[in-house]
Amino acid sequence: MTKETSNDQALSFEDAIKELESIVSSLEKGDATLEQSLKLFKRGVELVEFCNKKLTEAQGVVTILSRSKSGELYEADFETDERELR
Amino acid sequence: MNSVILTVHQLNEYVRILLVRDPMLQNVRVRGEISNFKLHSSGHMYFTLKDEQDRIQCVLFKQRNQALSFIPENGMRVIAKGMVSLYTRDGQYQLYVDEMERDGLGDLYLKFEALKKKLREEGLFDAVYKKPLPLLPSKIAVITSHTGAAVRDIIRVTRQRNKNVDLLILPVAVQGQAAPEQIAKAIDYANTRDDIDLIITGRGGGSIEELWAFNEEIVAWAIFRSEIPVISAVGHETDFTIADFVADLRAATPSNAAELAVPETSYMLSVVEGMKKNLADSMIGYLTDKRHQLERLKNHYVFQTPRLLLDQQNQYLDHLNQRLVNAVKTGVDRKIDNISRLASSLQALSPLNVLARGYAIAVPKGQTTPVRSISQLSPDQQLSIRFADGRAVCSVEEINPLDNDNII
Repeated sequence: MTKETSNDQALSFEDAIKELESIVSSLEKGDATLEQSLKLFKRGVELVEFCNKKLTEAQGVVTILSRSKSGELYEADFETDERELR
Repeated sequence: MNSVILTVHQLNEYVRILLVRDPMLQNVRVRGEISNFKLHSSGHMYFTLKDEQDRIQCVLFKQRNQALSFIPENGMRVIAKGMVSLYTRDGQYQLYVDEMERDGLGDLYLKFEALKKKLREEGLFDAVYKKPLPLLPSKIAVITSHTGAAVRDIIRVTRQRNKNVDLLILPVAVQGQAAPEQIAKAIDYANTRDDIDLIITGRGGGSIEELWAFNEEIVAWAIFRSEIPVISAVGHETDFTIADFVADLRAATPSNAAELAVPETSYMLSVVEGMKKNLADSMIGYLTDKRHQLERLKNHYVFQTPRLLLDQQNQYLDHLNQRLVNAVKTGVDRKIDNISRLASSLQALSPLNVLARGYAIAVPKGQTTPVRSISQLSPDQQLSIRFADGRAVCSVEEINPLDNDNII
């Protein structure tokens, strides 16, 4: 289940917002070189897209922790599993 | 003794009248534990009240039991108020219950208060330990019964607010003896995973006994040691449990827990939109700044009048040149000084100075080398005598070697 294709897979929404804030503040300080600043800006745009995706995509799943016959824990889709359990 | 022979009915009726005539038995309160509880389709309730030794059959008629503030169940401790009579058909005496209240709530309340005090003193409720919730969780562990209404409410509200948040149900018993340990273990388990960033634990409303698992110390400690923030959502708004005090955040209900956990997407979108604007503004600001810097440099006077810069350089060159000339000149002057000093010491040694002091030099006429000895002289020889101020020509009269008597 890959949610993001980039290497931001492990990035949380909160970390993305924090990184964005630090990019904005370093651009505001204006002490980076033009090349660095353009790089920062590009990264910022990526982060905005990432955040929007996190908010609008409908990829959330509901799973239930179950135990297999061999005793191993695994995540099963909650809706289907639930009918069996009832 | 003759005794009257009665029918069974007459006997039972006699006993019944005995019982109902006793004022104490007509208004009695009995403490006991419910067992064999049956809710008949008629709406009447039948059950047994028991204690360690004995039991008594009870009935609670429909018109009375609708006033109950709780649903009786087996094992529940109650105080039943009613009248004792005989059910003649079965020859069984029983308690006809008018009113019934929960027993032992006072004990539970004391237990609750004692644990609350203990844990507060141990610091489990301290604000410093409250962890902030993630801005937007990516995966929430929901620790509750997987068949209850609570899990449904949490899923529904979460989905309404955000469709990208994952939920992992960790099914546990939320009441009964096994519940506290299962809840605590599930919290610990969630902490062994690296994909969970928020825990919601709780259950729907119920009696104080039904909520009791969330008042157990083992659950309190599991919540306290959880590295992942925990929202408690136990019962209704008015129910407070120990778990609520230890949790990082208390939700009034399971639905409310989902509301607290997941921010509304429209609101979060506006936050991101704001960030996007800040990003664009800061980049535009940066570029504008750099452009201004460039303008300032372009307008700098040296770029406006390059000749001036050159002149300045020339002036500097002149200055250096002057310094060089001065340095050389000073050196030469010093040398000239030295030379004149030498010249004056030389003068002291000049033969002319010696002549001025009264000496004279004799030179044979027609020669240039001065006479140093009488051996160079012969009688009648012509000598040119050089004095300080002139010459005289003389002839040699006598030649006498020096006898040391006379200087002249």
